[in-house]
Amino acid sequence: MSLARKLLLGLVIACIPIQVFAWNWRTKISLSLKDQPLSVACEWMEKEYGIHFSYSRDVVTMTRRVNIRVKDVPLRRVLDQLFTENGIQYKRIGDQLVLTVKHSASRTISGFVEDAVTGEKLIGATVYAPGLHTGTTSNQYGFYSLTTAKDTSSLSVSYIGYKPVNIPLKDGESRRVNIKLSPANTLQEVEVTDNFPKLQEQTQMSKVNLAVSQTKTMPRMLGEADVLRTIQAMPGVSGGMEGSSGIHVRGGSPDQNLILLDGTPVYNSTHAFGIFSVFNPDMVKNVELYKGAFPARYGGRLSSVVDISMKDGDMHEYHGEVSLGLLASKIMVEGPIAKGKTSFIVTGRRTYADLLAQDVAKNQLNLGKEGEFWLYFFDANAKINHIFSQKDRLYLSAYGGRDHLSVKRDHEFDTMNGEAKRYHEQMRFRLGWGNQAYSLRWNHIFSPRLFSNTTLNYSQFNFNTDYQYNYLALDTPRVRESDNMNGRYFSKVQNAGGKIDFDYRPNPNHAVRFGLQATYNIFQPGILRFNNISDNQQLTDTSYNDETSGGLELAVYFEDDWRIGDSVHLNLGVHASSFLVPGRSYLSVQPRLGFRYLLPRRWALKLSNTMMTQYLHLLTNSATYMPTDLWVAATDKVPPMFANQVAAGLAKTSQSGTYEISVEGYYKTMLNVIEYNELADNFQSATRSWEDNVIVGRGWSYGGEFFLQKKKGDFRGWVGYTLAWSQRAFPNVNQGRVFPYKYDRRHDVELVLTQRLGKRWELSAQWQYSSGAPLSLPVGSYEETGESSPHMPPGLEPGGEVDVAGNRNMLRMQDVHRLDVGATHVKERKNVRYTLNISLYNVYNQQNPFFYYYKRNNETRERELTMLSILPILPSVSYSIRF
Amino acid sequence: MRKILFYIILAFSLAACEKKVDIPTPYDGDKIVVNGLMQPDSVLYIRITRSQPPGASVFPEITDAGVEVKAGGHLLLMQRQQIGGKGYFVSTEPVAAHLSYSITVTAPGLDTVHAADTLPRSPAIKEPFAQAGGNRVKFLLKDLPGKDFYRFRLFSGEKNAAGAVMPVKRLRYRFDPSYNNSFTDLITNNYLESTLIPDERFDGRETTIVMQTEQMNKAGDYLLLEVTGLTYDTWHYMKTLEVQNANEGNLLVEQNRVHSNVNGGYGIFGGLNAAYLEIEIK
Repeated sequence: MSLARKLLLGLVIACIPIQVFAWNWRTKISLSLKDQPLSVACEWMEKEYGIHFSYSRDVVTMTRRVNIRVKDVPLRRVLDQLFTENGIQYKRIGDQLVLTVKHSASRTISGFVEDAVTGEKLIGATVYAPGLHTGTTSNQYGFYSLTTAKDTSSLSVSYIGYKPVNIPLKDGESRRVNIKLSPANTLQEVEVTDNFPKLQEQTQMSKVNLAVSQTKTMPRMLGEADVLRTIQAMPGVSGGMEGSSGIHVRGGSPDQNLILLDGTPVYNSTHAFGIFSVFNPDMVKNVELYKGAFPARYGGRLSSVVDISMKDGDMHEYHGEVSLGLLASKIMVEGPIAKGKTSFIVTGRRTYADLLAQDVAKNQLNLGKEGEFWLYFFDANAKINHIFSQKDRLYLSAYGGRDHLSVKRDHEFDTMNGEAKRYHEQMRFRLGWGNQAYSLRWNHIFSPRLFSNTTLNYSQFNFNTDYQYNYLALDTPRVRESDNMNGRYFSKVQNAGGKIDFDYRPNPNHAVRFGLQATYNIFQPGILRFNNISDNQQLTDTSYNDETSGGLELAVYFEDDWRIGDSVHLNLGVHASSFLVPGRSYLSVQPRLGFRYLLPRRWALKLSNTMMTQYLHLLTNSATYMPTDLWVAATDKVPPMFANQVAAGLAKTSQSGTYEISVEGYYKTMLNVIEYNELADNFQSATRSWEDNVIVGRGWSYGGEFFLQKKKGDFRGWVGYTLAWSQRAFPNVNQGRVFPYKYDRRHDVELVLTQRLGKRWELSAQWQYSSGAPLSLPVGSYEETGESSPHMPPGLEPGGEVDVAGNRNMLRMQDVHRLDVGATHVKERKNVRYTLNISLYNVYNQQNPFFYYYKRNNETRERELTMLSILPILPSVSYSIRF
Repeated sequence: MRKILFYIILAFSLAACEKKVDIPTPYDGDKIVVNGLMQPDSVLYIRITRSQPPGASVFPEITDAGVEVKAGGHLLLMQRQQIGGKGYFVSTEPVAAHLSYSITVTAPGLDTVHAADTLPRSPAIKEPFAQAGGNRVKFLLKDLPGKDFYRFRLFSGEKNAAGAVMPVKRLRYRFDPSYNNSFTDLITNNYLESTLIPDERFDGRETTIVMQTEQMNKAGDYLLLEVTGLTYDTWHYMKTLEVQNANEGNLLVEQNRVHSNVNGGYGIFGGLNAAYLEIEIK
């Protein structure tokens, strides 16, 4: 080496340390930028700290705008803050920081799936990466998140009733993609069904997604489509009494169903003593029924979860619908408040039999000219949906409904039972019950993989009856008589709560949900108030059982739908809750486990084991669910109910998605189920001693269910079969022996068929058969007495027998079967849709048993066992116009 | 109330159809039925019959039953009598207040039965009032502290030769619903022959009670108001029987058991104590 070269090398070596020590990773940086491109941040650091950045503008996007405000923060932390979240990586080479694009093997595509026409969010749509055989479904708010391989070039999105679309993905970056699906050209307005994704691709079992369109095309009773009545046609669900739309799931009682409307519990789900459900099908977007394998996010009831989502309202155009039926009329209006940002939907429904029968009732009940007679039910729903930003949406929904009877008499009489007597009578009697449910929900997307929903809700159910009675004798001063009395009985249960739910999709192998809930319950189980002034003398002014109590339920949950391998999936979850009432508290940890294994020929073997705890009891001594029944909180003497359910099954959807088949077996045990033994006499009030009238026992339900459905084509339908046992045991009933529960039905067959004829007609038929329900009849009779002496005058009413109540439910009613048919005609003209539905209920006029009793034959004076049947062949018609 | 709910359901059901059916029901076999209500200062009348299969309306008397009644350990002599076409075992001496009574009945081929009860205190009632042309009967009931059970009835009466008003026919009336929660009586124009009310809403108080009668009061007529104190067994039997009768044919409720204090059989052997007020309508 020449001397010159040695000097040059020495200079270079001498210079390097000088440059290296100009900055290092711990150099303290102060920087404040607001909404500036990344390039500005780099220029600032270069100028202030001598940090040189090297990058290619074609490769690294430096135009992304950032906000940063730091003071004396180490360089590395500042760089992380600037670059890492923007997909840029940095590396020091010499005195330069070289910026390149961060290479990742995967990326996350997220967004909402919605109806292209109305903007309605679609629940349960499948988003699928075909090349990689991986996919996901949109959640209850239409949000999806799919983390997939970086080189995924397209996504396939499908939803029954909508045209599937293929979404090309241009680059390899994570991004938000909102997907719009156009409705297929069918008779249905919106069609939502289960099995997308295919059954073998879901770990969830014992779940039914209801097609709301199916509800509308099925045969109707009195012209009313009914969501819960459609659920009854699913295996594992029975309807209780003939004609009722109540649901009894896998041997459970109605109070063991958690019925949610936009996330808010609804206590009483039926109108008119169970004949119609409170859910107006025009408002319902999606219905999910869980019969078992309960996801960890649900809790508080033992036997089922019915999760109903209301429509959001059209974001782009105004629409309305008016329906006229035999029993009720309905109206619906929806549209944008601010196009593309805010929408609303309002529905209302009322029966009008009383309007038609007003005059007849006034005459029959002698109500007078000023008298009134009302007997109806109504319900109304409203919802507002607002998009604040790509990341934030708000939903405000409200429901109110009521059953109402009122009779008002205002009449001056000239006679009393044929005798001349002038008096003026004013009487008003009211009887009613109803639900209210409100919810405010806020969706927030924290990141493409983390979605959250925060809910505040309030719900109440109340029963009320009152009377006002005024009487004034007019033959004064000869007769001085006056009454002024009023009374009221009411019961109410309320809850207000908040919850926050997170939906986290870290990678395709995990779908994680977690959250927490707090609900405060308020109970007023039967309060009586009276006031009576007779002849200007105050006789009564008092109230009874004016008690209010409360209970706080707290819950946290976590669940992970974990893909262990191509064939093995596990759903691990836990729901932990506590219930706090003055002086005591309860704690419950409820594991929720699901397992799926893919067998040859793409059959899925599914197993589940879930535990549920219910802190609320329903005091009922009725044979069916009545609005007078009372909700109370668990106590030490009457502890919370607890259930453990194990289920196993096979399921498969055919390759084309046309057929779906599932077979399931289940075994459920229940602890602390109750019987309420208060005499069924007028109104009951849960006084402080209500526990003394309760006996605590155990229950068992087990059986098997088969379900085969054809889901595509002009001819569709399903057949369901249930083989089931439901039993109870209480210390003082049937000598403590196990006996069949009142909802026990051994066999149940449901056949539902629909056939499209051309573009306008759709025919439907539903046939159901079920084994006879358990029955209790007297096992003996004997003479009664009421007199201490035979010389007293006899009673005005014939009587004389006492019936000996035998063991509970040891007999069976006769089997029940019925065929209903319906035809729906749809015509569209100038964007107006006309729909006509004609239905025939109980086509072959089968006389199914409603109940049995001993009735005295007026000719022979003997008592005969008599079966009462209701609901003979019932034709109905309904007509709707949608514009 | 459940009755009115049931009627509304039937109204919704549009049409109902009934038919006679035959379902074989289990039957435990005949048992002795004892029906005897003890009123102080009156002789004791006891009916002894056989229970029958469900649905029966005729119940054979057990004429050869062995009936042994003890009053505080003292055996009462019982004689069988036929009154109004029915057979009774009748005591030869009146029932005395403040004594415990027990009964044992035997019959060939049937299980022997036992029952026992006491006698309740007499209700204190006064100041009856009923006005001609009106349809009200008012009176004062003075309830004593402690649990009491009452039965109210109203009779039309006639004066006998001794000048006492004797009951002739039962009358219907209705109460203020604050006593019995029967809100619907007002709209259904439902009038009752008797009412069973516990004293829990007026315990230990003097209360004015107003009965609204179905028929208008006529001048010169006589009414007889009966208020009966009941022992717990008698009350429980009458109340459960009332509920069973009221709910007959009502699917909304499970059939209730009628209380019986007759061990090994059915029926009631209970005490009651009736007080009467004669009312002349003016």
